[in-house]
Amino acid sequence: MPAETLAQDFIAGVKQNFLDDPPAGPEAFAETYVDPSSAFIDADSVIAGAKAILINEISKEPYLRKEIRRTFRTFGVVSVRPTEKGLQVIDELHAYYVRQDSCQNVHPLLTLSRHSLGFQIPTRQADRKNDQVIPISPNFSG
Amino acid sequence: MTKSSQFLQILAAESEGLVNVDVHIEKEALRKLTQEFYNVYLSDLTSADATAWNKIREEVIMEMLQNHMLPLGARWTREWLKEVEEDFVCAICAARLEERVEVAPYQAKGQEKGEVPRVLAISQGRGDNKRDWIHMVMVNKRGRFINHEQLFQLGLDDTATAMQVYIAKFKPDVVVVGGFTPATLRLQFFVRKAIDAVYKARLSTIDGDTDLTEEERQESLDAAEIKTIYVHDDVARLFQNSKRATTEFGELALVARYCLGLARYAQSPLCEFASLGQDLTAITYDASQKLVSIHTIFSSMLLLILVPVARSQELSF
Repeated sequence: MPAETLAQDFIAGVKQNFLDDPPAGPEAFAETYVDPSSAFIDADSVIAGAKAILINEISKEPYLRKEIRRTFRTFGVVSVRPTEKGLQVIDELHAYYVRQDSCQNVHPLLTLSRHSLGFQIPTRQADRKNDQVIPISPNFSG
Repeated sequence: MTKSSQFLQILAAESEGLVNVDVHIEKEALRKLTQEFYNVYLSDLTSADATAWNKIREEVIMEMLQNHMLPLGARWTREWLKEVEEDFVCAICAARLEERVEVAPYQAKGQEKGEVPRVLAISQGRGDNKRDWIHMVMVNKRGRFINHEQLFQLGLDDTATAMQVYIAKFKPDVVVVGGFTPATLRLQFFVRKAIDAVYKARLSTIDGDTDLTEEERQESLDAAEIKTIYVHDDVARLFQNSKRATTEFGELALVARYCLGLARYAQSPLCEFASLGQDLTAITYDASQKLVSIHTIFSSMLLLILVPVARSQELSF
């Protein structure tokens, strides 16, 4: 199946083009392409090569890339985890610190005032183990 | 997130090495995405061969997503978020600037709209009463410097009298008070007292003049009323140290130049902003402005300020 066809089906969300499996199983079918004089010395290398070509073609398909971008826009999250240095540097008075109660769940981060400077580095040791996860799209709760 | 500067801030923290940032899609969304790929790519047959082929197709989809599409999506999202938020900050800054420049000159009572007032600007700089002089600068309707006077210490009777004499002599339409510290409030009270004294004196003169018609009387009363105001002083702060100020008014003290900036700002914020030139971006319009490169901000403001700049060059303001 060409990558464009896959993209069409994927975008439509319905399977419109049906695959015909080759006459034999993958191993047996790959055997027919084995050529000891080339890099494809056995069935596994033939399958690996075929997979690489497929992956390359599908991942370069523009419509699929567009769909991935759309998915990220809608369901993407930014997760922020302080580094060791961050834990030491960012205290209550630091510009990147936001009060604990303004972050009971991920939603308030979206409604934070623009001037209250952003995201939160948790101060309590227990909280520090968790990532701070911020959804990109306001409609998606993360 | 797209209507804030949050991500810019996260990126800034990341570049300082304070946080690790990861952009990804939630597990459930990823599972759904993978399933959608499977639905259209896998065959529905159930034979042993078909199952083996489907397994390979699943591996292709998984590898394609994990090694190519998801990293690509994450990279793109970072760039996209950065761009969108930069645009947002630029739009806010441009809107603030527009708000600040799209202002007519201060309209004193009895004056017509757009008429430029005579302005007296008063400042004590840092407001240390034992060390700092009180500077008074008078500017006429054409924005020209008329006079500079300095007085010592607030609260002294001599200072109050001198200020009253000065105000009575130059008859400003409005008095602008400014300073670098909260002590300016004390100066403002002092100036207000002096103005009230002048107003009372004028009032008694007007009351004593029986030849005035009702209309003339009202005009005189309007003219006698002087307001004290504060104006945004960020432009004046830049002006006092600017090359333009030192070449034009090199003999004036720093605070006097600051007063001049205040007075001119009250007369025409637009022209003062326009004459800032490159320093336009040195003013803080929004707290998150520093997260965006100066060039991006400047280009968004360029259109707004280009015409006034050209005009200010013509007028040699």
